[in-house]
Amino acid sequence: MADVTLSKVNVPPAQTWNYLKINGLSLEVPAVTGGEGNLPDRLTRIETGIGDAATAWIDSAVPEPRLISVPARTDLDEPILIEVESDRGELASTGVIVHEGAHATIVVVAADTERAAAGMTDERAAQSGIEAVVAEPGKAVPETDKPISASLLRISADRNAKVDVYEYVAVPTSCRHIEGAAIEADDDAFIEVHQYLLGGGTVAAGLAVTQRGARSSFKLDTHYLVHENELLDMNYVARVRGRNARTRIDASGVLSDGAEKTLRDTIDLICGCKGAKGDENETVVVTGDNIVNRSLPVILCDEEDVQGNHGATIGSMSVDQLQYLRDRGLTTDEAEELFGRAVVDDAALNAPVKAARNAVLSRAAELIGDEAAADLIEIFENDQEVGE
Amino acid sequence: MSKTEIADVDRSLYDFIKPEEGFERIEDGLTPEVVKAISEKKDEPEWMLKMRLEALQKYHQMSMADNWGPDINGLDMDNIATYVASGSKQADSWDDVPTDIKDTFERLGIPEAERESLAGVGAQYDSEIVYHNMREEVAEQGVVYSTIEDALHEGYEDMIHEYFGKLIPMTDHKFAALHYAVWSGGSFVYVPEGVDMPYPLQSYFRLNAAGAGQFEHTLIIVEPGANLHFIEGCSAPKYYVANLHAGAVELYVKDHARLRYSTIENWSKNMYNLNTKRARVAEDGVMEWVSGSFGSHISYLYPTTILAGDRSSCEFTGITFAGNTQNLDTGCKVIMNGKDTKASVSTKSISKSGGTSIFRSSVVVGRKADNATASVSCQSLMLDDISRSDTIPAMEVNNPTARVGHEATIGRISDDTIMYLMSRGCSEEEARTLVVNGFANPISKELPLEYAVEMNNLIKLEMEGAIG
Amino acid sequence: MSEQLLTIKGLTAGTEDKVILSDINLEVGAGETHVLMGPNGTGKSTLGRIIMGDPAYKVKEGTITFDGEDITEASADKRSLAGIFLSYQAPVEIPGVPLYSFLRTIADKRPDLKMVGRKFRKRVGEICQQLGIPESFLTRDLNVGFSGGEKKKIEMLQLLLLKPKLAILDETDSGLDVDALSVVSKAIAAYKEECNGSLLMITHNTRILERLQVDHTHVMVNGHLAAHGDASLISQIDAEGFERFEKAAEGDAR
Repeated sequence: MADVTLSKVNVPPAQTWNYLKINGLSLEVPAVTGGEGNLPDRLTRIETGIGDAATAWIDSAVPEPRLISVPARTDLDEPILIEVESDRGELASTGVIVHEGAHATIVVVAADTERAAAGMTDERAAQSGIEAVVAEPGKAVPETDKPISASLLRISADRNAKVDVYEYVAVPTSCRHIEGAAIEADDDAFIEVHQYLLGGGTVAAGLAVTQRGARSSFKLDTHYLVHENELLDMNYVARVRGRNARTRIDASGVLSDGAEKTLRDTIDLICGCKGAKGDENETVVVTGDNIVNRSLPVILCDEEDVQGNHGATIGSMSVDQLQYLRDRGLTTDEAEELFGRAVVDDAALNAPVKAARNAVLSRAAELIGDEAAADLIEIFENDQEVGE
Repeated sequence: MSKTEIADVDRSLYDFIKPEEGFERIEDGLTPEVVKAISEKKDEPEWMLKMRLEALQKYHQMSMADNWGPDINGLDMDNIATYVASGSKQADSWDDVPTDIKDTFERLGIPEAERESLAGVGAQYDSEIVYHNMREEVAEQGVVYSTIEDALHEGYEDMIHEYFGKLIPMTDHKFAALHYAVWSGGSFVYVPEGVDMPYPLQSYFRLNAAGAGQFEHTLIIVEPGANLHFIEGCSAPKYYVANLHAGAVELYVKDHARLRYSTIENWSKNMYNLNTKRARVAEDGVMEWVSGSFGSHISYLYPTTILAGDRSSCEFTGITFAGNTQNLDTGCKVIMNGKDTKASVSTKSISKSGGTSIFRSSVVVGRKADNATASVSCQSLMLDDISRSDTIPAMEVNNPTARVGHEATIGRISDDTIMYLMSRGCSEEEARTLVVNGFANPISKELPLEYAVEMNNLIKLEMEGAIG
Repeated sequence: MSEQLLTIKGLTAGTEDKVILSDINLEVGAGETHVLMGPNGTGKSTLGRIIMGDPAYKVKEGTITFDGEDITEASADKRSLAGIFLSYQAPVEIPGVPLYSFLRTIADKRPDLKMVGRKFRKRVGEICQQLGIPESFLTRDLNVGFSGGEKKKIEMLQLLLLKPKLAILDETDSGLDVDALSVVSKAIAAYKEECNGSLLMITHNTRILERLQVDHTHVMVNGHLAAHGDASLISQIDAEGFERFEKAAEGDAR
């Protein structure tokens, strides 16, 4: 199949100097056909974070998007689970309408699902005959040749609805993934998104929320670990329209050797959103060499009666932190590893369903080493109860 | 709380127009003939003319980025005169300056400031410097302060050839190319090794002609261990046609040298201010920018510091006040290439009466900049809900040992604050002015006294609509 | 009654959507000391703010007369210049405005306090000394980075500088350490002595009142003035609390 170039993936609302190469991401993807985009208008009109081209590409590829409607004042017993198999380049499009006062939990898991299903590390997978997709030694797979998977999740939350979203992306270095989300929140809707972005050769995570409702609340908590020679590209956009809306975007993560990461986060305080408050916060811990860390934290504002704040800390561990950990008997390397391990542990422990946890475990050895991964796997070995 | 209606600013202090009779005005538009005419008038070396013509070609080839920045479609280059001059000789005594022009600078307080607190003054009126003078004791130390045109004829041609156009290449952006094609006037400053300038030098730029452009070039070289404070002021009367300012400022700060560059920009609100400023700082050098942007209709202004040498550092302190009809896209860029370099950026912006203020910055930490530390802080104040305030800071870190911190806040003056001040007897308008002045105070503290006073007056003007 | 400094008649007020105070009647004569007590959240501070003219509150019914003028509609700065002073429970911070410049600005608004710089500087210095406020406070930004106690001291400095006819002290004594409390007491004593001004103390703490000659005591419960009395009411409340008044108010409501 002929390739097409998605030139404006993860484009932020406000652009800046083009030579900085922070205005968006370009992805080579296979040409696709067959999708008709038959989700209702109220879902497709919502802005997605991944940009128009990537959105159209996914919509044109998925023949039958999944549509779930959560009736008013119901509380779903089971989480809505969306699984995407990265090594097969699977594409998923899902729409969820959460009606007035209802509560839903949505979980997206993008991973090498075969391995994830077994909850396995490379080593164990090899033992059980599952072939791990690994490049020949010394010969990297060109980024454009890697399979690309995608999930596009659209959520419309009515008044007083409560939605918890978990996104687990743990695809191998040999795969690429687009993790897209479009959310709309009506009056008093309460949305919480937890993202664990644990890799992939190239991962583009784009999320946009339109807070059109008064007193609506949106909270995004992203944790990431960018592994050797991987690229993580994030774009978060909050359009704040409702009065007294609350918006919080927290992103924290770790960059190991050769990692490349871009984070764009934009809070757009639109005229009329009186009393709104928006906060962005970023913490990046650099534990490896040859890293590239790009950040574009933007606040747009044309309303007077608002508060917008942004804070960022980027860098290696401080001398104080390092000294503290040394005092507890850790070497510098061990102290640095601790940060990466914390992200993986956190992802596994907070996994709402087993599939999510297994996705984390399937990448654990690659991310934090065999020993630490084995430790973590052991914790869950006999535990089948998670999320139930 | 209901807002006090604040009338548009009475800028009569800056808003007087002098006749242009007997002035030389090179025809509008941009052709090689126009460029040649300017060059010929200045009796330039061949290389300069070549550079101008090359730049003109680049200007016609290049385009502005269309995905960011304020709209400059209102600027029609076919109707901008690139060269306007009074025809009078440059003077070193105010008595020899033509009366109208002298009167202009008197009203702006320049001769008075020169007597009181400056080591030297240059005054540009439209395209040419009309007055240049420096204290004798400073000249005796080997300090050079003149126009680039004069320096080219007075034995500094080699030095200018070495530095001119090297920091800001003509390909930097479309208006940098334009600048190099038609530049005229500006300053050349050379501070020899180890010379510590006790008083600032000041250049004041006044654009009087309607529908004209000002394209001055400032080149400053501060040799090792030397220290200079340079002040730049600019203003223009208001016209209903567009005026353009596309100057270039190239600053070289050598080892252990220190340069402070202060600007209070108060162009009239028909001005397109597309100015480029850049400093290169060598080992242990220190660059300090203080920048106040109050005027102009559209601004693109991002003074850039390249921290090339190890342990070099820079500080940028800026304030932007955008009122009615203004779209001011300002900020700064820092490129950190040396080890143990330090950068500190602190800006404030105020938006009022439908004005748009955009803070745009970039901090790039290079691969080799071990232990570089940078902090960026920007605070924005919204004074009503018809204005706009955006904060667009970019950061790129390529070195694992670097530490970069950033914080930004956008907010308003709280009702409680106004109430507190009113409960002590201040009117609402006084209360607002007091808070805005307080907000700007960290910047005015960095300015020489007479400029701090001017800045406070400008804020008062903006807030009250009349000189108090 | 024209000899009254402050007269509040039938005042019903609150925020845009909520009534907080109902049918308040209060008279404060020149030179008198009044105490307004009551449990937390009953509207005491709101009354102080309404007297000061805070636009966050709307007067729905009734009038406020000060020094013979109806000020019900007057803005806060007009009331301030007429001689009302409110000491805030939590004074706001104003970055970039040094305390000294602020004092100079507010003093200059008052014709009888306008004086040359040197004289003004001396006057402020005297008050600082009188209250034991370090002069280094004067160059710092208004209330920025000051502790709660220090902010109250700065409020007292303004009280003595401005010499208002009526001072409303809103919980000025609450949460203070011994040192700050003594500064506040000193300032109140000096205010009474030097200006013979009227005082309306809003408090739920009786300690600060021990050294004061209290003329009238008012008890506020649920936005109503539930009881009035002389100084002896304070010791009753000290012993019994507000329960009795709250019960009475509930009874009224039924």
